[in-house]
Amino acid sequence: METTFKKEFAQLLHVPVQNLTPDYNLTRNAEWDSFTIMYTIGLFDKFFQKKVNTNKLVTCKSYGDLLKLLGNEYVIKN
Amino acid sequence: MSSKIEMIHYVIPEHAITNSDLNQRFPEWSKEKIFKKTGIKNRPVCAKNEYASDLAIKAVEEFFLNYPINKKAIDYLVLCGQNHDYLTPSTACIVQQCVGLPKKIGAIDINVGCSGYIYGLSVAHGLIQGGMARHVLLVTATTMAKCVSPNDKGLMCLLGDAATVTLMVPDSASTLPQFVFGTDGSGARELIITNSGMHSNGSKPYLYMNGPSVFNFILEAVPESFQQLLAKANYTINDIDHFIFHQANNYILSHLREKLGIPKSKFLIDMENFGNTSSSSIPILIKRASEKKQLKPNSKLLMMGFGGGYSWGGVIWNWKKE
Repeated sequence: METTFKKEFAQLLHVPVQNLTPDYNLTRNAEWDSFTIMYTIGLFDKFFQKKVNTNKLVTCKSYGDLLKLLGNEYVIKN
Repeated sequence: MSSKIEMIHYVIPEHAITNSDLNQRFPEWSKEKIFKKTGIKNRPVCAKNEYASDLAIKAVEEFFLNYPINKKAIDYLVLCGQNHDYLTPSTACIVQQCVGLPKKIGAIDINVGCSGYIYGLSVAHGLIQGGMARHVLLVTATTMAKCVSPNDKGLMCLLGDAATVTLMVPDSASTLPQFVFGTDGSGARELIITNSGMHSNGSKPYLYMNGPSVFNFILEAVPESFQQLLAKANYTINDIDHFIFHQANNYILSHLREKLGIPKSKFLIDMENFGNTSSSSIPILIKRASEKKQLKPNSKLLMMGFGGGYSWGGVIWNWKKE
């Protein structure tokens, strides 16, 4: 499931999916803007049926930070 | 006695903000990028000295030029909007006088944002069903775009201004519409015009939207009330001909459609040249879909509005030919 999430998230950021390692810096990507942050909520809902804390979402700096919002039950690959 | 939508008319301001305009202001966002992110090319926006009443008056005057009904036949005016001209009097009162509607009518404002059209329909229908009025003008006048800070890239890309008029009349042949409503004031500060009303501190009021929180609210409230509405009417998705949701944002609409399992062919989206026009978005879409012959007579429409408040609502309505 995470792989598909990752694929669609990579499309939102306009980066190759293999670039999305846990330490990938979101804040250096110009695509990580207010719209993409909002659309990420849609991806969480679509792939994990999970509602995330939006205050924490806007402070995410890396892809790993983003995955941590999902909680321990989701294994972070890569 | 049920009611029906007899006619819809809409107007938009003369000036529009294009993606090129936005690109000039925010060079880091290309025209293509803005369109890809929002599904919007143009957003009509009121001039500085143009207010909700001006748009509403224009819409109502054009309505009477286009539709053969005497102003004296109107019993009630219901006006939905969020940026009314004044705290008091109501914008509906200003419109009544300026367009020459009879003094014997009722005229009220409703302030519930993007769910406004659903609430307006419910009030108009209730007035007709209860025998208090026969001809109700339901007006939406939305001028949110003029409350957007020129530095707020996201909201500038999304919002447009518009006004619509819907004439509601009695109809003994129609089945009663089914409504659902919802309110959660815990979201009041997530979509708000700050420094407005009696809370004004003298500085210019600007619209603030916490987009992620609003999207979370939509994902929670809309699917639940959607299912409630279908259950209340004893329908399934297959029984509905067209799904017409508030035109919030292309991505949000597509996500909701997929989540709810609505076939693409039944889900109408039309915001490319309007943007998000709040409570005007549903009637504009219905009018344009009707003109394009997308709506068959006697088709069942499921409409849902959702937004500031938080406030949401839905209705299943039998569409009669205009």
